[in-house]
Amino acid sequence: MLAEYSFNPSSAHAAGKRARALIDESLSMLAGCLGTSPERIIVTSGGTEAINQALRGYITPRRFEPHLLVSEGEHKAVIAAAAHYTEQDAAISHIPLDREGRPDIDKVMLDADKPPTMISVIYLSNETGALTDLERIAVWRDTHCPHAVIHVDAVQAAGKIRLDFDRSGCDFLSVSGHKWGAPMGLGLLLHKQSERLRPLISGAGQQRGLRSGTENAPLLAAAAFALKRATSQLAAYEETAVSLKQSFLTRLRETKTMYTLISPASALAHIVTIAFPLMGETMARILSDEGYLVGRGAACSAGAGHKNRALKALGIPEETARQAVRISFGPDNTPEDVLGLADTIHAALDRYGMHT
Amino acid sequence: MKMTETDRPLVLARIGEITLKGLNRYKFEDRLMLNMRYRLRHMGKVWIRKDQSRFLAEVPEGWTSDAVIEGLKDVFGIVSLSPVFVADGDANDLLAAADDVFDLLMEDGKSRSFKVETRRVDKAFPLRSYDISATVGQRLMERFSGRLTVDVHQPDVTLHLEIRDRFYLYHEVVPGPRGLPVGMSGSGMLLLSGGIDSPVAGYKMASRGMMLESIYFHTYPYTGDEVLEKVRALGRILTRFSGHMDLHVVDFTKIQLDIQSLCPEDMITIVMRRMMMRIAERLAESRRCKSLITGESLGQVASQTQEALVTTDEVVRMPVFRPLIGNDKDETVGIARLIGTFETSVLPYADCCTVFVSKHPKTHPSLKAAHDAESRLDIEELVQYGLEHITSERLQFS
Repeated sequence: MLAEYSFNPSSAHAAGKRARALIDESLSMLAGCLGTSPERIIVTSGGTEAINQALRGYITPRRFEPHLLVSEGEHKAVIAAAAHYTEQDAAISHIPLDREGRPDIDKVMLDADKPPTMISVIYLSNETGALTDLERIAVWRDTHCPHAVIHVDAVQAAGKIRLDFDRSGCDFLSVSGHKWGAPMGLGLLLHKQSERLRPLISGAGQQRGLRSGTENAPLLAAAAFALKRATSQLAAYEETAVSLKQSFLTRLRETKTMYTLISPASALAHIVTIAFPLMGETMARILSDEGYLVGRGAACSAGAGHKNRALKALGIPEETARQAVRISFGPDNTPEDVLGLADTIHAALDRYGMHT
Repeated sequence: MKMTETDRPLVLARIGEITLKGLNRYKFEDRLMLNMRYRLRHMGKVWIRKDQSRFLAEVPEGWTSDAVIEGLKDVFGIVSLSPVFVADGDANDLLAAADDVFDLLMEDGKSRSFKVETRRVDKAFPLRSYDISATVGQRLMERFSGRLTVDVHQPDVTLHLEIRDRFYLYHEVVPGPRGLPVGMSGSGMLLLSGGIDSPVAGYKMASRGMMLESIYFHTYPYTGDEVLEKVRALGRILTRFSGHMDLHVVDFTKIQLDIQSLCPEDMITIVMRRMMMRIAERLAESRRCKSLITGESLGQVASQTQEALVTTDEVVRMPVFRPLIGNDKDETVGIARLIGTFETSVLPYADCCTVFVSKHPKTHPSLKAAHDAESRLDIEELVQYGLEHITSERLQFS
């Protein structure tokens, strides 16, 4: 497929047209899976670029002063892009999290003189698995600041939860292909107001001038194919994740393994953030040697400073946060996998657990 | 006296402290020459000549003076370096050579003050030093009228002319690292961690002519292999100055776990350091190192108070050199930036010193407290275990 479609889709020759046709077809497929239409999709180099394009490329209507409202549980990509926002003399304020780690939009103190012009929330927390109630955010916006746009960071959610962009109350939504099984290097920004976007990347005017650069037809096709497959398996995946999480925790209890479950009760089963009496980093390393790839729970290890607001909101002490690991159950995982994982964790604690 | 016969440019290396040596001065000079050749080994055989208190290296075909200086500027024993231009002939050729040198220098379009210093070794040359300086100076003033002014006290540029068998011209002086040639002071075993201090301590001792070996205590899986990689990277930077260096990696996890479970929590750090010193000394003995080197600075952390240092020194008989003992952090960071280890040292990986810390370590431990803390450990067995679990590799700057 690479050989057949690696042509510039903007060319007039037959091979170029073939690539263009593949792009159009892939975009339609992607749009179908995401509940929107192809004109509302900008293809980017990844989730990070999509997020940056939305946050830094949004043109605030002139009668308002730019004011960004972000939740305290955001991914680094949003935090960093938001920091850029403040450099331009724009205001930035935060949505606190509730005890379940979700943005608690009703707790936001509204300043009537300076209403938010953009709200950015993470849909599915990469750290806790907490799920944001997007409808509540949209209702709040409609009531308090109807002119504000909503950006949703759905990078973690795509491929795990059904997304229905057009019918949602949000205006922008970022996703990343590798989260649903596509190769790295592809993200999408969904938008309802392209006229309010200033492109971050200029060039020959591809993608209606919103994102220049030659389009990658084979990559887009791969992403579309992968998303279609992931979407068709959503329900089964969810069911698998729930049962895997169940077996995993049951096994830990049976083997009397000490743990603190950090993911809140309402969290999606696909991601389990959990702490054991051993540094998360050390645990991740041991598990990796045994063939289990898990994430480090908190980015604040090694004294890097970055206080983890998402975990703090859940009432997790710093010590526990440093012991956190993040386990993601994929659609291909089996019950044997998670039992083996639980036993490996038990053995690791026996050998390396902190005795002090 | 013939210094060179080809038209290749030269690099002049001045030596400092070595010239103060007495009858064994030649040993220092020979060593320095060896080290210079080693540092330039990627250029093939480089012609280097001793000339009183300096060395002249010929820039090999295919290389530039800058490349030679880049190689030599980290060789201990060298005080400064200059690229030298060579010319032959009579007074007119000398003037032409000075023109060439200044054409290059003045290419940037800037104005500067200058003076000319002449040294006439070949007394047969018809003009006297003062006259040569005046003539060349005059000529350059005319050539770059308006952009050159004479300042004999604090000029921006001093053009040095040496009249020997040939003409040698230079104006640029690049500082070297000073110190003594590595290899003149025996070998020392550096306790290397991933931090800022220990590489600087190694650098300081190497500057006194010491050859380095290094030992690192790895506590996988508590510390990741990325820390080991970082230690390697730091060691490799050090070898720019120290020449090649062997790195000995001790698998310290079992020892650490024993300490953890058998010693009082507030003494863990002290006992850990005592174990490291014991293993380091035994390894040092077998490697013919005569001292241990650490990056400790008095009072910097709990394990670096006077009392803590006394307890760690107690377990070894070798001298422990701590060149940073009186430094404050800023001074050490300054050197780390200068030698290029800082950026690597601050990579954010946890090392053993940050993973295994008790919340309230003893800051003023007595020897008795250290003895009591270790009473449940089989010291000799653990030292043996450490010595038997060492992997060694040679680090070399390429």
